[in-house]
Amino acid sequence: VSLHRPHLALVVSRLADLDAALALAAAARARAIEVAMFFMSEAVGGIPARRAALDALADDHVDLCCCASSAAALDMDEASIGMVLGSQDDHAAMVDRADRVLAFT
Amino acid sequence: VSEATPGERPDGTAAGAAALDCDTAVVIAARDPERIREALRAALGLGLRGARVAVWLGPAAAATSRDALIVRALATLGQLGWPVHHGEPAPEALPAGAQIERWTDAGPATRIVVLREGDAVRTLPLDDADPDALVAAVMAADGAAVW
Repeated sequence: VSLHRPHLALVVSRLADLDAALALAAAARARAIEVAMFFMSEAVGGIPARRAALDALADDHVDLCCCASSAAALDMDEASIGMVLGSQDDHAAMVDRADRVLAFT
Repeated sequence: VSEATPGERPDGTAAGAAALDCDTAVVIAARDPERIREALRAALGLGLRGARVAVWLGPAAAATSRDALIVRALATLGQLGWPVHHGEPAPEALPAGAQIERWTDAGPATRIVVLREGDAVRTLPLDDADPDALVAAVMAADGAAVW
């Protein structure tokens, strides 16, 4: 019996693709796929307007992380982002453990 | 920093699978220096965690690569021994097992998902895709990339 659960990583740096990535994350969770998302660059600016969708994903055990450098560049902090701020090391760790990566970059 | 084109070894010798072997391929199709800088920042982060990273610098990116931060990032990649290829590869030219990040300029969401199934490659449009069907296809494929 395999204990491995499929894992999908979604890297999002393009604001125009943010909603598509959120929809894919929700669809993956409905299939019991482990999901992690890393947000950076201009996509970070779209996070506050998607708070409800992101909260639902977090409640559904999606790992959410935002690039601290990108947040700082947009004069945003952890409170305004509403998720953990991390680094490119978090991005790399997420990619490393994923079976599939979809990079909306 | 190598000047190899996709399919060539970084030192310009004969093409071969080993030349393209990497864990993560970062393909930079952007023209905007800010986007190129972000792509290279991501590439360095991926490599510093231990992944074998290879970067493809597309023609548009190469045209703007005199930016000081871009020059420094490319030099750092080279010093760390990670190849920087010039040109933009076709998806099927990338290593079958590699995770792929393709960086473009900001703009409308007009892209596709490329699925690798054995030696074959097929594409799915992202715009009108049913998320559930797309996730199923991505997870069932041997590899996938947003292109």
